[in-house]
Amino acid sequence: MAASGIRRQSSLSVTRTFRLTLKSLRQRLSRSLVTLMIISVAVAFLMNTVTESLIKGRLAEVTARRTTHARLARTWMVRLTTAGTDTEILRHIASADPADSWVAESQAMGELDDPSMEQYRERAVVAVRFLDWFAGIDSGQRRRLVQSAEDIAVFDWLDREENWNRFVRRLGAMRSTRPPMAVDRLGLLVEQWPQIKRKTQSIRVGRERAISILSDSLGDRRPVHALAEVQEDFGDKIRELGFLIDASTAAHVAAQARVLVRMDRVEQMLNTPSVRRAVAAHTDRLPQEIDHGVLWRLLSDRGQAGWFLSMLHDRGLAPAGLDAGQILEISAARREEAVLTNAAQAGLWGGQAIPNRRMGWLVGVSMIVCGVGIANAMLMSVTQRLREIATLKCLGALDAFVGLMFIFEACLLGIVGGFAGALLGLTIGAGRMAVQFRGAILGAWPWGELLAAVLAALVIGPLLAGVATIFPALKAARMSPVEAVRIE
Amino acid sequence: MSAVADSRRSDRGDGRRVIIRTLGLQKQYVKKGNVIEALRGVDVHIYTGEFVSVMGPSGSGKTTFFNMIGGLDRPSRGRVFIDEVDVAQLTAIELAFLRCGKIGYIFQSYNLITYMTALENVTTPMRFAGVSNDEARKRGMELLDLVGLGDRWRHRPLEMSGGQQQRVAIARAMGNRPDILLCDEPTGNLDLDTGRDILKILQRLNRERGVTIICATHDMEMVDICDRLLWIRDGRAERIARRDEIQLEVGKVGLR
Repeated sequence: MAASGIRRQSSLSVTRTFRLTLKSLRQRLSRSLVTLMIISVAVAFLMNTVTESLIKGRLAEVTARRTTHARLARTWMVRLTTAGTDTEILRHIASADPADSWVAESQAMGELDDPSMEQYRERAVVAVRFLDWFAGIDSGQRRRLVQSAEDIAVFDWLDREENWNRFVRRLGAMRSTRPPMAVDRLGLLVEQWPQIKRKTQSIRVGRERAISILSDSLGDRRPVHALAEVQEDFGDKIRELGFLIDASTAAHVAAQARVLVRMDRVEQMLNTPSVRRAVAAHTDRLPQEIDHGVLWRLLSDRGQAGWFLSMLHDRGLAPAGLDAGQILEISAARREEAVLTNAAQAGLWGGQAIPNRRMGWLVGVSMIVCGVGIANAMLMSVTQRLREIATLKCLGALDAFVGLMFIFEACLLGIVGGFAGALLGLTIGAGRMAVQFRGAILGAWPWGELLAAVLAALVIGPLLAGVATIFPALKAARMSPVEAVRIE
Repeated sequence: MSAVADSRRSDRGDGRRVIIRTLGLQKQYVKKGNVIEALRGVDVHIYTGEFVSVMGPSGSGKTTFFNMIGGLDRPSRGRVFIDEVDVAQLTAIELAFLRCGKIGYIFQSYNLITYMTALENVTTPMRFAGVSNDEARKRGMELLDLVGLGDRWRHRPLEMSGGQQQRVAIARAMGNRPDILLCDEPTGNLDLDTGRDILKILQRLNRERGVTIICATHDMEMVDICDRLLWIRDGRAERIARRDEIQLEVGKVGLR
């Protein structure tokens, strides 16, 4: 080389490439805006999903603790008044925590011994898995498999020889759906079914017996009033009938039941026409518009609660032992109840820290779509700058320099777009959650995780853009300098 | 290698050596299944410090010839020696270095980088060559002064006229003190007066700095200042003649 006079030149350093890229970007900002927007929308979508599921997950965690206690009175009201259907009992047994007093209670009421109860639980778990599967497949397929049978009636239907054979034949012909366990396992379950059904029924009958005795003894008394005294003789009475309630649970239940009783007493006031009219006049509404919601919104203010009490007093209706402070307490409890109901529902779906599979699939597809979008935008950038690239190559630019230029450009756009997208997604996600759950999210704000998610977005943005730009960058790097001479 | 020895001997006897030499240069393109013979065997010697005009009708293979001797494209057959280095033997990186340091390119449509100022355009090839920032700025300003645009170094290409842009392009091409300037119709997009200015600058570079200039042109003005004229027709070097030999035939050549 020395003889030819061509010196070995130091190749362009990475920092210089970077500075040149920055300069070229500054001049073509408007054109890069498309790429920028694609990246930020992709990251915003991802970030929105992550934010919502993080907040929901934390919220579900926080409220799960609160609800188990807060809703005890209502749970017990249901437990003391309805036995549930066979399907409900089967599902409850399959999903219950062994420490749940309901299980031991049911065992005693159904007169099952320990080994047979254990066997029943195991079989119930399998049965519920098949029930869920039957509930999940589409109705046309289900009709072909089990005709119109639903819930546990499916097992009854399958228990007939010809039905079972038909089921196996048709299931074999279906390719789009597979049971959660082997068909043989289902066959075994169907064989065991009469026994399972007998046990379920004996639990139901046992519960029904206890409930009917209890309801006879209550007479006209409403269960919620009785529950308010569960720490006293009423507790002994239900224990006698076989219901298992320990002292600390009873204390919670009684406290909540008392609130419910008071709430009920306040709400009952609206049944008196003169009270209803007074409230309507006070709130400037029509009497028929006054419902419990309106009343409680009014009573969430101390002054208004005072007005309400004095108005009742004037009419000689004032309930004994109810002051403004208590009304405010009830009103707050009622609001909390509404929020918890909402949050508990959120906990049922998508309340995991990691997006569930469907969400993951959606995010994955959106990432691919955005990758293709970025690749397209960068490819356009390459073709629009053909002459510039070729000229740079004529001036001595190495292939690596040209390729790097485009990768750097994409990564820079990725960082900016990723950050903008992260903020956008965070704002939208947090906003949506705030609207859905109001103040409840204040105590359940996952700061650390959200910060980590923003940082992750700052990595994901450039990564996505960089990977999507590999092909356009290669195309640019391999371009022949002859293009510079060509005249359009 | 007696051919090499022969080629080193100057036709004019003034001791100049051959800087570009082509041997049976051929180039074929395949376009839509048809083989297009752009060059059918060109043998040319160009000497250091020469001003050579390349003329020929459109589609004669002029541009292909330029791409070959500029190291922008590889010949299908035959060889190109630039300063006695066979271009076909160079790796991609060596080729980039050759383009960077040995040859300056001037295009009909200027091809300045639009987002850079005049000075940045001029210093870009120096940066590719690894020249330090300060040195590149200093040299860049000198070159802009040389082409008469010293006071416009901050301007971007779109803020300048065609003639000014072409002058910046000349300064850029001179950035790494190349031995050869390849000009592809440098006055093709310019009016007569501006074109004449550009030619004067090229002539000055040729005379004062001894740069070998190879210029494709349709411009008859060029014939006045060049040392030799190369006629390419149908992919062959139809005629190579010194200016004084051709002067008498200008009218005829121009009419063709």
